[in-house]
Amino acid sequence: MAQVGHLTQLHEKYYDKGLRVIAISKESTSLLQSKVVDEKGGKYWIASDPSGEYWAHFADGRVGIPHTYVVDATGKIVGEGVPNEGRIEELLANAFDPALGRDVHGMLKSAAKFYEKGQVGKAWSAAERYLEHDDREVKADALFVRERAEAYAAWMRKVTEGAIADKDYVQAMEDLKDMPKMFEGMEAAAWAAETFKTLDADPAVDNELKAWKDFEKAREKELRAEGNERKLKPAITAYERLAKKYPGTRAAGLAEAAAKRLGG
Amino acid sequence: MRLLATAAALALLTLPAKAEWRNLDGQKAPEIKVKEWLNTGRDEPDADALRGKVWIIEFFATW
Repeated sequence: MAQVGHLTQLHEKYYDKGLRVIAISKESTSLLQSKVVDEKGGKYWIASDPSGEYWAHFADGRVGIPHTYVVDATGKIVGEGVPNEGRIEELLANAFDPALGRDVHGMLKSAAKFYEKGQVGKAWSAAERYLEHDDREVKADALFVRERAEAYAAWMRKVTEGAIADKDYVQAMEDLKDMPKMFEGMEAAAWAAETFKTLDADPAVDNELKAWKDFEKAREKELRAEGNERKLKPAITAYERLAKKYPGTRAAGLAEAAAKRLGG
Repeated sequence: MRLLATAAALALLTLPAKAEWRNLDGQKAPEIKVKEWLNTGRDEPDADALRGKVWIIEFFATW
């Protein structure tokens, strides 16, 4: 299947940038395991949904398969159709590289460049001196850059606060580490640095991060067992041990579920 | 016969090129709910794991 190979490529190329690839079929997990994972080496998320209920949510059953949707970081659908590698990659490039969304006056070109390179704080600072400029166009564009930068920072902060509230500290700590540089000079940078310090000193966070490390090790054992029942035993033990060692953590909850799934 | 061929050609012209792909400024994607997952690791493919992520979702069959 052409599009399955294509999904693997996208997964490998963009996972670290924040892309998540999901493939959903009405077929059984055993068939998907053998045809997509074993034969084609698909490493992305694959789901079996025999009822087709989720598919119906997305498309009301209007269109045939294969059918692909691209969803941006705010959860909005930004493209759909018969899988088309070129168009999908185009959309992804847009979704990953922050863009101001419109041209600005020549005097704000350096601010715009900073913004497009992801140096949002530098863009914000560079635009400041034009806020009271005599030329109304320059002034409006300076305000536009400032607002875009502030909206970006606010969104990133909201996303990170959500991760903290959900005790997803792996994600939260990664974000908090990036933010001070990204939003240099802005309030969000100070907030991120401060929050990072607080979380870094919190034993509960440390506990959660350690639990994740164990979870990943157990997960590796599970993957290496390749469904072989005898080889799965150490994975089940590892899951159970971590659930006991780090009670109350997110990782423990998932480990318990994994152990149960494997018949532990 | 010629008429038919013209009609077919016209249909090809008026349909957006095989209605293949369109970019949208679309609605929120519905929260994921499926029966069973393969290849799940640290991230469970739920709203948490997708928060702030770009994702592509493909509905497919192996046949």
